[in-house]
Amino acid sequence: MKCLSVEQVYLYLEKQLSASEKISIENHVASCSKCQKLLEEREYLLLAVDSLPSWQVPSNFAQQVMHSISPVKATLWGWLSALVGGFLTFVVTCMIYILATGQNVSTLLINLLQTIWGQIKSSSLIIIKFFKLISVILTTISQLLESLSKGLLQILTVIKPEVQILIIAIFILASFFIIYEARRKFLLGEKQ
Amino acid sequence: MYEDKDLVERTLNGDTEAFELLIRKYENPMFNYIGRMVRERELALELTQEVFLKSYAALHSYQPKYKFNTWLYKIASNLVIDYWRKKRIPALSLDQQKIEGSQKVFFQISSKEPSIIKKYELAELKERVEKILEKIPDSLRELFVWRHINELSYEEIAEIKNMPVGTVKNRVFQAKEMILQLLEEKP
Repeated sequence: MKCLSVEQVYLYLEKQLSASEKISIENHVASCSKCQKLLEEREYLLLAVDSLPSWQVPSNFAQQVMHSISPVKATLWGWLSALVGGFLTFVVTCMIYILATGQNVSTLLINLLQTIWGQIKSSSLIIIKFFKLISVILTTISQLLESLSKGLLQILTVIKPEVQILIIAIFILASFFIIYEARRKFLLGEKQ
Repeated sequence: MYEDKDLVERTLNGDTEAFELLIRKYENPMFNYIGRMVRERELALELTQEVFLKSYAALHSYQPKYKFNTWLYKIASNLVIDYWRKKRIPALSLDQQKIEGSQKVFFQISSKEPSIIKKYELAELKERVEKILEKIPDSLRELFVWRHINELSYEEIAEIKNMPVGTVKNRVFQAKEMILQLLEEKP
């Protein structure tokens, strides 16, 4: 075997060679003082460079960085959570209103829609189309709520007042939880 | 111990404590890298902080198929280059910088007897190497620091610098040969 190249020496010292290459180098080094010296020098150098003193950041470094961090844009998941949270809160509020007053909320929604509709009737065609779409959505929601309220009223006739209060409390708690989670996802970067 | 990818995901879901854990994990390795590149403690601290702020702001663009540490070092490397550009310090392009005589150094093996390196005690040798590092070209020093101080693999370094693994190895060996040669000179 020829004398070792510097590259071979480093690859050998860093254990990056195959078993056969390793044996071949060891056999050569055993009989070549020049390569032995080459190997020893670099082995000693590696011993030094692999244990150079470490620079240490101050103990409060991470906290300082976290202080400088400002909220970043919410993720898509954050936006979706906020939307779902908002919608559920709206539904829960409507349920509480129905249970507390015994009134039909769908009538209120339709009246509100009609008022808005009357105001914007004379506006441009695009706006009319846009609100038509909203009216369809709101009508669907109102119908949904109407059915829901009817169902709830029927249930109320058979449920005891204590149980009614319990159900309302559960809904309020669930609503708060959803809002809190949505807010947490929305405000990435805020200190907690 | 949490995986980096899990901590990144948690951060993206709003858990800022997860990002603090990532900072704690990488603050010293990053400081060691930047410190050895700019050689000034206060400046290195400032730049290290900036690396984490930049990475936080760009976290949504991190692709989990890559290792988080290589992504972070890539940001740090660009930041160091940008800093030098702003300060108009020459020899800025780490990748394209010419390494004068490096090939010569690489293939030149000292045959002087006895070996100078063996004359140093280990502690003294470390001290000398630390000082000599300042004289090593930036392009070689950066790879050397990643390999021997940050203990990155050649493959990781190749990923950061977008270079073939063989080139990375060659340059790290050149850096070490250069250190050996500079050790021969008077302190």
